[in-house]
Amino acid sequence: MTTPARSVALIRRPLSRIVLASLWFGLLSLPLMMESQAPFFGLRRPLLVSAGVAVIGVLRLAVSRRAGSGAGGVQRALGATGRAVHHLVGQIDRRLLYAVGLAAAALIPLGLNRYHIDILTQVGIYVTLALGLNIVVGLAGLLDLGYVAFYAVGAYAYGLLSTRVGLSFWEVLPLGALLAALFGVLLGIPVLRLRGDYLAIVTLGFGEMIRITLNNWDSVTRGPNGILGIARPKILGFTISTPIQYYYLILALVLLTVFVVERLNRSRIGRAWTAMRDDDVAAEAMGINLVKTKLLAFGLGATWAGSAGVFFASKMTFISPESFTFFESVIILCMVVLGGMGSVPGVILGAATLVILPEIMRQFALYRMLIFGGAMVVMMVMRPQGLVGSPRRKVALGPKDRPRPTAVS
Amino acid sequence: MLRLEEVHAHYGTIHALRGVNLEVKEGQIVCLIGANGAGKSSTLMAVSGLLRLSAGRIVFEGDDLIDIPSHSIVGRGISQVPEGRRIFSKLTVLENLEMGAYTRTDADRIRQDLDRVFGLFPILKERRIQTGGTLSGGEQQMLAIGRALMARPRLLLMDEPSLGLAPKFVETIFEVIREINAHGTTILLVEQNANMALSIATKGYVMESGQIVLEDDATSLMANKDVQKAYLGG
Repeated sequence: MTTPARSVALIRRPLSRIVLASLWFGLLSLPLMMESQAPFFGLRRPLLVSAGVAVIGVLRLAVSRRAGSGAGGVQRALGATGRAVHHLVGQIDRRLLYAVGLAAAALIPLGLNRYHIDILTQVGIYVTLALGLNIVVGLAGLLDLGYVAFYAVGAYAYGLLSTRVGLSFWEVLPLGALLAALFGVLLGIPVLRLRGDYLAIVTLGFGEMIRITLNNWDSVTRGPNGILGIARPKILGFTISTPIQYYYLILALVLLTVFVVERLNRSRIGRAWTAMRDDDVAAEAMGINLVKTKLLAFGLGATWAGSAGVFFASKMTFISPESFTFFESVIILCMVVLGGMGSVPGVILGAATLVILPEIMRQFALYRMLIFGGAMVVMMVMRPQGLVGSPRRKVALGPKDRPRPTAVS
Repeated sequence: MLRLEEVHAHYGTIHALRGVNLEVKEGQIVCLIGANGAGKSSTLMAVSGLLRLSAGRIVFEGDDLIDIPSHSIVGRGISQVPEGRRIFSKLTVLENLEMGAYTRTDADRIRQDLDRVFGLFPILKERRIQTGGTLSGGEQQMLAIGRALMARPRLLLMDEPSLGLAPKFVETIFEVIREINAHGTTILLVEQNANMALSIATKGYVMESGQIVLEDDATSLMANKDVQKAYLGG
């Protein structure tokens, strides 16, 4: 039985939290509104944002009170959707899923204009990148915040070897991938003993180092001016130049990536990565060579960034350090986390979402990043395991056997 | 089979093992008892190569283990059931067991060993597609033992296998330890539950502050007044 005093205490905490949240969001939107040319220039909109947040908070509180369990209705709805998606993905044979996906991916561009096809190509690049980072972060559990560096290595490898040496796209594609893998291993060696936050900071530094080097090494990289006139890829004398041709090229690269990553995921080494992420001491006791396994993760992860970089350079025919900022690393990481660490279909979904959503939201221009950030926060609170979640967890998510909170970390 | 000679080890500046001498003969169950922090787990970690020695020697079947990296030690025929189980919570039960056989390539015999583990612990077979993290404590302990057996060890190191388990499970676990030993696996067992451990052991060592202070046949240790007073609750 709850005494009146206790129920007041029970409601006071969430209420003060709602007030704080609404103030905070109002404050956050302040600078945005100041820049705005909109008719409601000034303080009115931040106040509206605050009010909106407060209303949402109260509604959530009301819903969770009615539910009684304390779990919000939204959270349960999200969880149910996730489980449904999961169930679907789990039930359907993986091969069938991919076959349908491939057929859709191959046919979709036929009805679209150039702008839309370009966005899809963008999706392809990010799927390749995110799948590569998924090896490092999702499978091996090594938080890498400088992943974009390997993307830059691939892009500059093609940019330089194409303009200076005259090597073709097909010659540089494996070379760029290999070079990126080499850089991956080089980064891996000094950070072998680091984990968690420390690893994140060092990799972040590494990513910036590469970008700053590219920016300042004028004699080779032409600094911030970038490299112009990079050759387009050729297949049997036929030059790839239109968006749709590029789309099919990246689709082929994505296919290769998915195939290899799925194989890796199910292989001995894939299991060794997961084991290492779960408990590295136990993994070592099982006979896993941690040094080799970690370096393999860094190398095999970077490979895909390298090949995506080569493609990117060939598509843009122009590259500059600007394309390889820390923000890119963060976005790619978001794709992996949003989609579901370790899950290939999840990561593909995450990459597609984070490329397409901002495009759809273009009309909200200024609010875009605010909505984006808000969505990420909501997502991480409500469904920390990502949209699809790890493939291995599907057995734990059966209808009878819901995971205990401790099992979801 | 296994011999520790004057083994010293440090955690930073803490001198955890101060000259441990210990011997395990083939076919025995040797048990190591002692209070918390006496160095029992550290001794096992040292044998697995997870704790580097600062002095002394560890000899297994005539070979010095000192310079062998820990991930190669399992290939030599020593596997461990670590303290706190440390199963891979994101891998399925089956995958956990397969991890135990990580260094092996003899697929047929791995299959046999898998059947043997499922024979010892039928519940694991039932739960084989569940992730390790969803198992109960007792089941996780069974999984940790099964995983260690999948390496087909000649020497099995067990660290507190009964810790935190319901009495019913504790009995099952000790029953299984005896059975594993009867099938020819030598066992070095670290236990807080000294009564149970000594009752199945051939030989016992008592550790205090990083040193072996007493060694004897298990039955004599159980009869020893000091041991009874300090560790057997008598």
